[in-house]
Order: sequence, then C-alpha cells, then structure tokens
Amino acid sequence: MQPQAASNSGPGELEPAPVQHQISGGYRHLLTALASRAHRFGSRDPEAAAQEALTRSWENTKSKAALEFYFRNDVAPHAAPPAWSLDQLLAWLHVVLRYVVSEERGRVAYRMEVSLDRHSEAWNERSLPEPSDPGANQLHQLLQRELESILSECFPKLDSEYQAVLRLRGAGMKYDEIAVRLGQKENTVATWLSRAIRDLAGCIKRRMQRIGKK
Amino acid sequence: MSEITQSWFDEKLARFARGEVGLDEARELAQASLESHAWFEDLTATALAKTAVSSVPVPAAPLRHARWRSPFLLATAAAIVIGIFVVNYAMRVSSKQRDSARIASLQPPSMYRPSPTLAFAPGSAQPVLLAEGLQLATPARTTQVFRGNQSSRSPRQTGAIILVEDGQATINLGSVDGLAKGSEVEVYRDNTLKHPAGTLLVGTLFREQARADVGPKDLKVKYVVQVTDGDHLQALIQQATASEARGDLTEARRAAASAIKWANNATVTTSQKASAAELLARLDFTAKDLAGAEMHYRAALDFLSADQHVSQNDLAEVQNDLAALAMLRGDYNSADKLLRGNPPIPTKPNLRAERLNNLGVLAETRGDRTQAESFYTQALAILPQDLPNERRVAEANLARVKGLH
Repeated sequence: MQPQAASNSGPGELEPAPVQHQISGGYRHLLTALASRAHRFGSRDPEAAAQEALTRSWENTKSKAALEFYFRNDVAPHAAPPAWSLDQLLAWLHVVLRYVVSEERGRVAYRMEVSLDRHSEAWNERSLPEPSDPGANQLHQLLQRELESILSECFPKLDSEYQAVLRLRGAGMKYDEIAVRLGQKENTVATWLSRAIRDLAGCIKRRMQRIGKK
Repeated sequence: MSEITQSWFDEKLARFARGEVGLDEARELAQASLESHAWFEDLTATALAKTAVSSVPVPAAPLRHARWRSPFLLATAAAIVIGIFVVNYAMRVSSKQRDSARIASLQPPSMYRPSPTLAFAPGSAQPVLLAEGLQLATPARTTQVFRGNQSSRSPRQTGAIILVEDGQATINLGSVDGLAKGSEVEVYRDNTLKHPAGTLLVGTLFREQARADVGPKDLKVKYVVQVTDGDHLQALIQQATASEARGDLTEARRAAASAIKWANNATVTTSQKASAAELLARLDFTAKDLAGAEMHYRAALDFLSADQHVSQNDLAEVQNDLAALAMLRGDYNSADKLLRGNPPIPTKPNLRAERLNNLGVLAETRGDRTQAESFYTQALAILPQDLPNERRVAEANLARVKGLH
C-alpha cells in the first residue's frame, strides 16, 4: 500500500495515519538506506531512527511532496514537480536523521522548540513553519548550521582553483562568465566545478564517519 | 534499473554535481542510489555539498597564507627576518634624526617598497589610497537605523488585503517589505497569482502595513498583493544594512549574499543587482575579507557595465574601489588596467580626484616619483575644500614624494 494523501483533511492539516504502516517499494529501500546512515551516526536502533526521520519528513508538505516524487516507485509519468530539489530533500533527510539520532542518544545536542505533538488537535501545519522560510523553523536552522559548519571545515581544504570556481558560482555567475574571469575554457570550469563538489562531498563523508565514531 | 553500473552512477553523479540533471534524471538517480548504501551516501554527500555552496556564503580564502613546508624553509625565513632586523637596527642608529618617511625617500628604489594603505596617519611613510566605498566601511557606525529592530520580521514579497473600508484598502505589507509612498503593488484574486485584480498605489505607509485608495476597483479582503521584484530586492538590501547597523556582520553578509542570489533570478535592473553586489563587497571589506570584497566589486562592475543607462559616477566609484583593493593586495597590473583602461569620466570632482590620487599611488609603488607628484598635485587641485579628510590624504601623499616630511 502506498502512502495516502489525507483525502478528508483540509490544506495544511495533519496526516492522520502513521507512515510506518504505509511504506512499500521505494520507501522500504529508502528506510534501509536511512537506517544504514543512522547506524553510522551511532544509533542503537537504526530502523526506528530511520522510521522516525521519515515520519517527520512526511509531516512536512514540501518534504513529503519531494519524497513522493523522487523515491516513490509508481509516481505518475507527468507528476507535478515538487517545490524542493533532490539536493534540498537529501539535505533535509540528513539533518532530520541526525536530529533523531541525537535525540535517541539522549544528548541535547540540538534543540527543537517547535511542538511535534502529532496528536494534538491544535497542531496543524501552519503552526510548524515551512522549512523554506529562513529563520522560522528550528530544523531549518539546524540544517543551516550544519551547512555552515561543513563549509567552514571543508572549503579551506579544496584546491585554490576549486575554491575560486565555487566562489564565483556562489556569486551567481554562469560558466561563461567564470571562464572569462579565470581565463579558462568553459569545459575546464565545468570540470573544476564537478571536482570541487566531489572533493567537498568526500570531505563531508569523512566528517560523517568521524561523527559516527564520537 | 537492472542496467545500472558503477560507471553509470558515477557519470550521473558528476552531472548532478554540476547541476546538469533534470527532474526525471534526478528521480532516476535518487532511486538508483538505493541499490547500494555507498551510492546513497555519495549522493547525500554530494547533495549536502551543493546545498552548502548554494545556500551559505562561501568563505573567502586567506589572502596570503604562508605554509612552512619544510624546516629548511623555516630556517631560511628566520635567517632573513634576523637579517632584516639587524639591517633595520643599523639604519635606525645611523639616522636617528630622520623620520621614517624621510628614510624611505632617501633609500634607493630597490629597498624602498611603498605599501599602499587606506589608513591615513599624519606623516605616514606609505602612500594613502582614496576609495569612496571603502572609506565608508572603516569607521564604526553610530547612527541608529530604525529597520535594525532585531525582532522585526523578514521582508515578504506577497501579502494580502486585510481590510477594505471607506474606499481604502489596508494591506499587510509595509516599509519592511520594500514599499515606499507611491509604490505600486499588484493585486490578485488568489495566491496562484494568475488572476490580476488591479494595482494599488501606496498612499499611507507603516512599517508592516500600508493603505491605498481602492478607487473603482472591486477589491476584497484576502485578495493577494505582491511587491515588485525591484522593491523586494530593496527590502532585502535594507535587511542586510540593518544587520550591519546592529553590528551583526555575519548576518549582514549572509543576508546580502541571499539578496544577490535572489536577484539573479528576479526581474530587476542590472543597476539594482550591482547595488546588492556592492553592498556585499563593502561588508566583505569591513570583515577584512579583501578577496571576497574584490570579487563582489567585480560582480558589481560587471552588472554596471551591462547597464546602458549607468551613471558614470557609479561606474567610476566601483572601478576606483576595485583598483584600491587590487593595490592593497599588491596587484598593481590589475589596478593599472582599472584606472587607465578606458575609465569612465565622473562628473563629481571628488571621484575624479580619488582616481588621480590613486594613479599617484600606483606611480609611487613603481618608483616614478615625478609622475606620482604630478598626479597628487592634480588631485589636490580639484578636491573640493569641503572634503578636508580627502585633502589631507592628497597633501600628505604630495609632501612625502617631495620629501618634505
């Protein structure tokens, strides 16, 4: 059975059924992948942590839409594109999972002030601001802090040309503009950008392994 | 999915890293990544890297970061430092009566290496640059900015009509959202923004609300109102400026970087984009991130250069600031190109004078004191009397090259 939309609920209202009972196909594979990550983060019950992370993501309209689009097996051929990109969804899943694991480990490494009381009648989606609204959501703030921390640790380790291309790209420049600025060909810029992200991702993976060992 | 191989995944992941995959390909990649925990890990790390780069201001690399790669290099450097100390001590003993500027002027060109600075001190031994934008960044700001209220909300581009009464509509957008008296806001029947219902002209303005005459239009409560992209960008810029005024430079830089990112996909003029880039450059400079400042001034210059109706004064100011930054890090060739290569002709005399002064600094760094003297003299001749600080800088530069200190 696929996760169902809350057909009787109005916009922004809480999904009534727990996601645990609605998982199949791609979600089960996703749960396995998340459980593997949870294990690496030091979770004692990785499956439960993965379930909880997915449940919390399911409760947010944007992450839910993105989950359905990117990870559901039988998505309609012309399904409406989600508001979130795959990058955003995976970054979100990462931070939610980390939060859930840290919660499970009894550490108050993160604080989430918003109520996640899913059984309260007063709870509705409007009381939990969308994560895309900067500064309004604590999980989003956690994500922002995580990203800042990643950049401050990993960016200085990149080669100088990779740093330069990321800086210029970050300033909103296109490949041809960066190529002119750096005196390189556009293909070189594309290669450097790809390698820069690859090296940054490598640093992030090492960082995650370190976190899991703590 | 049965045909998925490591090379297929690697190729897709590389394209994903460069932002070249469409929605369907991204979906294909996401599902493929579930075939292997290592692939899912690679994809998540790549997504985090991309998100970090696109949503957090990229840190600037240190301008000059010395790395001691071997004990030999370290020992050599130590020997050089000691040598310099000994020579310096000997010179001090032999010329106690002379001040540092005089010493500099008497040394052979190979030993006297002027190092341009923005910090003016009477009798300075170093050539002092004039840069309009960079001068603004150095003094601590004491003025209180009303928009600096930390508890205020972030600017919004869309809001709603919350009251229609006596021929006036009240909307829940205000000055914090970039509106000014006379601003236009588009009105739509719903939040799809596909059914326009007219335009409102702001008559009365508050911080988070505004009022406008409805006129003959049939406008109702809950109709959606939208601020123009230009006004919204202005609000984002003001948000960054307010953070700066509160002394929160990190937040100010983040807000300015977000404003630039938003502006890149918005319908705003290149001059408005330039304003955002210039603000970030100034904030970078205040944060002592000269590389970041230079990069963003260059972006501002690119935007301004693309604007057919650009003010020559704006263009000249950014170009001069950029040249000053280049000289501060010792890149005199770039500064030369900026100051000499087809420069705009500003109408403001202070901007012309700043350029001449900085051409003098450039000449001085290259050992051409005659030319430097000529430039400083010209700068002084056109600097208005009501700019005493700038005049003092040009006078000090002129006195130094003449050896009058």
